[in-house]
Amino acid sequence: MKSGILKYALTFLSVFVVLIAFVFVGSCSTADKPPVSSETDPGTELSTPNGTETPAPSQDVPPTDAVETPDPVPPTPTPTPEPTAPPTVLPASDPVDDEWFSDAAFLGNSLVDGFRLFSGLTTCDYYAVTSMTIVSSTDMVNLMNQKQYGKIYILLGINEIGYEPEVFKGQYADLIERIREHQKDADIYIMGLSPVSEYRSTTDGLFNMTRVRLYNEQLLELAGEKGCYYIDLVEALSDETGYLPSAVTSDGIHFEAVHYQVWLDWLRTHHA
Amino acid sequence: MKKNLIMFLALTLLVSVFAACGSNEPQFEPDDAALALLEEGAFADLLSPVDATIAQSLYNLGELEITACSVYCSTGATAEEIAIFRCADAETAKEVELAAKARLESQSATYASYAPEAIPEIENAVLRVRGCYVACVVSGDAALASSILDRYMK
Repeated sequence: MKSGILKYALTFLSVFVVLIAFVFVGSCSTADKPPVSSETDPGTELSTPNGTETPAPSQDVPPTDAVETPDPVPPTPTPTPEPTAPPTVLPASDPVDDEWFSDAAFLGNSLVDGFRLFSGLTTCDYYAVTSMTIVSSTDMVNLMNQKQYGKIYILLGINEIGYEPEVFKGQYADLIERIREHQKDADIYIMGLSPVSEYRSTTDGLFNMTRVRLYNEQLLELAGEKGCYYIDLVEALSDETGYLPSAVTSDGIHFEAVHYQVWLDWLRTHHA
Repeated sequence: MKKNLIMFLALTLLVSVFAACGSNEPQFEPDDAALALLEEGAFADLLSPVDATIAQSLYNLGELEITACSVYCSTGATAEEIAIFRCADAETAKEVELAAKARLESQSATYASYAPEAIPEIENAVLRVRGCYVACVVSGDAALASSILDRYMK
């Protein structure tokens, strides 16, 4: 009995050893492949990306698989910084003197005519007519375009405040194009509509701050689209209530001399 | 001989009276008349003074010799205006009068569609020439403006 168990155990052990030996031999055959690394076997020249032919391996050196090296990563191009677009609404800056306006033209309606009469600024040229609209501005624009300017200030809109704002914007865009055809180097300042008085605003269906703001939104948008500067005359000329001060106006729209000084001071400090 | 001398002196006196602006002609500062007009309430709009250079440009006076002027313009809401000029001589005053008429016509054309209620004021403007002085006043009360001007240049 004992000899039978012993015989059986010996047989089992033999089979087990053979199996272990078989597994061992199998694992050893895979260990011959070299690991992937930057170091190459000194006896082997790798193929290069430009297609240099790899010489046949020496017979004494066991064949190795081509070492794959990653393609060199092209350097990331330094992005060219995009030129910063000038701000449409200019921040306050150091004031300029009258001489700065010597290459400026002011185009517009009765308020620009008032600016001519009362601001005291005489170094620039004025193309102003009471009641001027974009449509009626042609003659003055043609006159203005006979001379080259470095800056052109435009104030139009109060006489067209009954139009559809988008229609007004379209007409204004055409005006800008007509001016740009002849004034290629000029900075164009679109002056937004000036504020009206509280009394006027609350009693008039057209000349009120709602429509003034509606038009000014269009003008601000247009200035951005056309590369013009935008001058916010509501901010410049309104009081703390957001209206044109009643003390400076008789009709709620036009204002007296002293308020044109405020306007000029704003232009002196809001320039390109 | 004596008779001839007296005749000569009389003629000289007569010529000097009518030449340029003699002692019978108005003598006042344009500013004084303008301030009187402003203060005595003939205007509904807010009027502000303009620089003499701008005033001459506004009236297209060119190179006409103006020895003093006082010009007040409105806000633009109305056509109200005060313009008083003292000219170098009576001939120049006549030229300035023509320029003032042209200014009124221009204003009339502008305000006809812009603010038609201003037209009667422009049509009733007081335009007066006395010696070397020219006054052109557009106001809401032409009769009042005229009576004020009478004190200076009747």
